[in-house]
Amino acid sequence: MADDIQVRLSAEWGAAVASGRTPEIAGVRAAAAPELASRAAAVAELEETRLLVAGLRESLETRRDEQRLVTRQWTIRDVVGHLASWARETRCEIETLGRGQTFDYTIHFEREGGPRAWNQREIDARVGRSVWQLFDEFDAETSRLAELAVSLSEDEFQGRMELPRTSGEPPSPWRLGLAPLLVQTCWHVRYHLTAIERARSRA
Amino acid sequence: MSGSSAFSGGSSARTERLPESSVLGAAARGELSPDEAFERLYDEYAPLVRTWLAARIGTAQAEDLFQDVWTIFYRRWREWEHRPDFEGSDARPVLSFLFRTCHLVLQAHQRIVSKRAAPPLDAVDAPAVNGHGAVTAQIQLGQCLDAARRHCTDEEWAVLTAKLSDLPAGDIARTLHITEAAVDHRFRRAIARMRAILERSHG
Repeated sequence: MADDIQVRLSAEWGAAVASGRTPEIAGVRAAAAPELASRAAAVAELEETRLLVAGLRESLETRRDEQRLVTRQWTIRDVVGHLASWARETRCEIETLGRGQTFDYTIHFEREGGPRAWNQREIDARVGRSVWQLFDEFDAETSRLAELAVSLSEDEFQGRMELPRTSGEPPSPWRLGLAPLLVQTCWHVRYHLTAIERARSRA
Repeated sequence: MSGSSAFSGGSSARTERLPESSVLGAAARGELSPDEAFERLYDEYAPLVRTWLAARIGTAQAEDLFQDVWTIFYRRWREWEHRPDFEGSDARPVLSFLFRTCHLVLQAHQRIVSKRAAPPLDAVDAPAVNGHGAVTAQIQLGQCLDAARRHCTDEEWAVLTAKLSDLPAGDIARTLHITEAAVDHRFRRAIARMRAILERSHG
């Protein structure tokens, strides 16, 4: 009987899948720009990065290779600290702007290597912490980012923000909306996780 | 678009259906452009994604979330890294990614809705005799499947629809944060529930 039910459910599921009308693919392509990401998509991407980093944490608990070099200078532990520092910075920036305050600093992104000095300073500031504390910081800050994305008003979500980040010569500030900022933040996390996977596969 | 007339338009009627592993392999070897491969994957899985979402949340809201899921995958596809194990006949990393993304987008949507006032009227499905009117109107759930939708818990329903879509238990478990044993338990519980209901209804 159970098998009969499974067969019937399977046939009905196949029919249900075939019965729907699917939107044109052009609509997906047109809406794929990060600036057009919806609030739900941004939150989903943030939650996915938490899962991906949790997966890295789980693998470290077994492999204990946090001292493995990922770049010439950074170990896996340093990369986790780097991701935690950017999650914290991004959350602080959004909250500062939400309070209507301005910034007394800027982070300049060089054409090659981004904000090297800022990145290294943030890693150095976390030297005394364990890699598990860095994972905790990343997770807590990313969770708060997701909560901000959920709770900000529509105007705040859609509006463009001027961040304390600059690039180019002369330096020009970054102006972008919350959705592309969060989508880019998630991409940045995945970029480093991929680099860690590559470093591990080379070993 | 790649300009290849054989694949243009995204119409499943005009393209040969290939299993996911073949599409990924062809894309990795350069036999399909990234756009062509994306179209193949869209043709293959868009109806399934739409059915997953509609069966969980109703057709009206599923339309927006469908776009969220596919725009997330569209962006991810551009950074997709091929691995040799993706070419095994059972490997379906894209299907697993889409299932996880559906789940995360649904969770994000529910979180956003619960934070806000009632959604606008046009975002709410019309009430229906069996409580799933819009879903059954556009996506035809058979009698057995509709009964399962009404009598299973949300967790059981998520597992059931994933298993009916041939997702590996491990991927379902990782997405739902449960063990593989729990996946099997929920599936068997849903089948047992359906057996009891059908036996009752047939006297």
